[in-house]
Amino acid sequence: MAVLTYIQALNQAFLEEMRRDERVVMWGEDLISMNGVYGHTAGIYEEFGGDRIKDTPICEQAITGMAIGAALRGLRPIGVFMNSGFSLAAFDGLFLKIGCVYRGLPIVMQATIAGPREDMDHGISPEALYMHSPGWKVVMPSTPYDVKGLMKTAIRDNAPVMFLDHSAAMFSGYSDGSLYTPYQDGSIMFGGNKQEVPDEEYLIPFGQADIKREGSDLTLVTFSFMVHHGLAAANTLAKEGISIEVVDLRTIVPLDVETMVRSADKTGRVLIVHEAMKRGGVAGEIAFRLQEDAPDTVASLKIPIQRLAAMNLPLAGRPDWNLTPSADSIAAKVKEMVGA
Amino acid sequence: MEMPPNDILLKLYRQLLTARRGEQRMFEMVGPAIFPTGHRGVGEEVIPIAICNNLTETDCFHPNFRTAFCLFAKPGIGLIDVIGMNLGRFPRLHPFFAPQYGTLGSSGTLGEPAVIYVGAALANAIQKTGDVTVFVQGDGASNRAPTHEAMVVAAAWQLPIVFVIQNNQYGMGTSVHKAYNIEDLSLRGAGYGFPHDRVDGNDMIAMYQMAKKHIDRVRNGGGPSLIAADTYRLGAHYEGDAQRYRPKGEVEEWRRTKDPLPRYQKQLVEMELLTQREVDRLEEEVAAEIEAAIAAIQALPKEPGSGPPVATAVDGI
Repeated sequence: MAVLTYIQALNQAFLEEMRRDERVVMWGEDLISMNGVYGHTAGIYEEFGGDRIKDTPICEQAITGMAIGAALRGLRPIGVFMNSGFSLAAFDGLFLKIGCVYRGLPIVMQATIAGPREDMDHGISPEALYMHSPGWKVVMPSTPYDVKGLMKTAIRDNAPVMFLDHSAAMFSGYSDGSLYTPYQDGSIMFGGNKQEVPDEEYLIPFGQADIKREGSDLTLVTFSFMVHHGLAAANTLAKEGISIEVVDLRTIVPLDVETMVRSADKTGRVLIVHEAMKRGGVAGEIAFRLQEDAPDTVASLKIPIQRLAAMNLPLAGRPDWNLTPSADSIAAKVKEMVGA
Repeated sequence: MEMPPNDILLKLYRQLLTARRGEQRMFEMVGPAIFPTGHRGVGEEVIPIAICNNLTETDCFHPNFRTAFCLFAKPGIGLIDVIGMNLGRFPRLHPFFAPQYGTLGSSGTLGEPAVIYVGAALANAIQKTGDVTVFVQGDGASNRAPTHEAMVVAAAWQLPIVFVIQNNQYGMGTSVHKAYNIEDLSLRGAGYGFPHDRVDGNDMIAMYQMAKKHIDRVRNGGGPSLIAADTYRLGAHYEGDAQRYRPKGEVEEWRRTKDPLPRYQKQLVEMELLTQREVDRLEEEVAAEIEAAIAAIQALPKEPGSGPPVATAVDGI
C-alpha cells in the first residue's frame, strides 16, 4: 500500500480519472507552469497534453463560466481556483448559474480554503455560501485516503461539486512547519503528513460521514481541518477520562444526518465545530437538520446542541489560531458540556 | 465583398419580415409576457438573422436577449419553437436552451453568457468538432466584466468564436455615449489582438457579408474576432418604459431613415428581386405561416405544470 500525502493522493485521483474518461478536462491558474502552486496537478500536462489541462489567464469568471459551456458541449470540466477567496470573484457563475439555473452539469470546481492566513482573499472558508446555493454538492475532506476517494466520486458525479481542500493540507507545511506542528503527531494526516492509501481503486460515496474516533461522552461533528483539531482534543481529553466521538462529515451536501443521529443517541451530547465564521455558518443548518429529522433524539439530549466556530470578524491580517477553534478551545468547550 | 446569391437575399427578406410580424403578433397575444419578460427587438432583427444564415445546426449562437424571437433563423430551431417559447409551450425544445443546436441559455446578469459561450468554443476546439461560436450581446452588456474575461481567454487560446456587439445605442436608459469613450465599438477588439470591423447592422446585405467574412475566417482555422454592428432600438427597453432618456425626434428619425425592414425591401425592389405584388404576397404568406404555427402550438395538449425546461435563463434583467 502506498503511503501518500494529501497532495499526492489528490494528484492520483486526477490522473486516474483522466485516464479513465477522456472527457475530463481541467483548467485554472498556473496548473501547468507551477503544478497548481500546491503540486496537486503535477504530471497531468506531461501525460495528457495541452487539450486536457490548461493554464488560464487570471480570470475566475471565465474559469467558472467556461465549465458551464464546456459541460453543455460534452466535456466534464474541473475548474480550479487557487484559493477559495478568488472564487468569490465568480459568484454569479457559481451561485446563480451553476447552482441555481443550470444545476445538473458534470462540473467540479476545486478551491483551497483556510482559516487565519495573510488575508481573507486567500483564507476564507466559504462553504456556507455554496451550501446555500441549491445545485451544489459540497465536499470538504480531511485526509489523503478521503480526498482521493471523494475526488474520484466528484469527477464521476453528474451534478456540480464544490470541492474545498484546506490550505493546511494543500501546503506540505510551511518551511519551519510552525503553523501545523501541534497536529503532526502521527494520528493526524495533514500537510506533509502521510497516510496509507490503497493501491487498488476505491471511491467514497457522498453523504457518508466517517467516524474518525469512537467515543461515548459527546459527539463532535466537524469536517476538513477541524477534524484534526478535534482528534487532538480527543487525545487530550482521553487522558482526563472524557471520551468523545469525532464524526467527520466529509461532505456537507449531501449531509449524513443518520450517522450523526446514531452517534448522538449514544453520547447524548452534540458539539458542531467549523472554521468559518459562526454567524450564518453551516453549524446552524446542521443543528436544525438534526432537529427536523430527529426531533426525538434532539429532545432527549442531555444538553442542547452547541457550536464552536470562528468569531464574527474578518480574519484578515490575523495569522492567529485563537480566532478560530483549536484543540484547546474544543477541549475546553467539551469539558464545559460534559460538566467536567 | 461578394454579393450574396438571390435566393439567400430573398430568404433573408422573408426571415426579416417573419421576425418583425411574428414578434408583433406575440406581443398582441401575450403583451408584456413576451419572451424575455417584455424586452422586444424591433429594429434590431437584421443582426441575428444575417448571422444565423451563416451558421450550421451544430454551431453555437447566442443572440442579444432582445432579439430572442429571431432564434427561429438558427438552423435546427424553427418558428414553432420561438412561438411556443412565447406561449409557454415547448413541443420540441427551448430555443434559447438547445445545446445540440448550440444555444446554451442566457442570463439576466448580462455579460455572463460570454464566459459560458467561450467555454463552448473551447469544448468545440478541444473536441475538434469544427463548430463556430457566434456570441452577440448589446453595447450595455459588453461593458460587463465577464465579456472582458471571455475575450481574454479567447485571445490567449485563439478559440473559434466571433464576438458581436449589437450597439443599439442604449443600455437600458443609458446612452452608449455616456458609457463609452469611443464611437467605433469595434476598437475594443484591438486590445485583444482580434481582427475587428464596424458595420451598419441595419443594412441586411452589409451585415450578411460581414458575418460571412468573420464566420468563414473562424471556420477556416482563424482565431477569434469582433464585429461592432450599429443599430437602433426602435421600441422601449421594456413595455411601459416612458423613455424619457431619448432626445425628442430621435426614434422617429431612425424609424424614417434606417428601419431595416422598409430599407431592405426598397433595396430588393430597386435590385428588381421583388415587385410590390410579391411584397404583398410575402406579407400574406408570412402571416399565414405565423398563424399556422400559433394554431399548432395551441392545439398541443396542455400538460399541468408544463413550463420551460429547468436550465433556461433570460428571465429578467
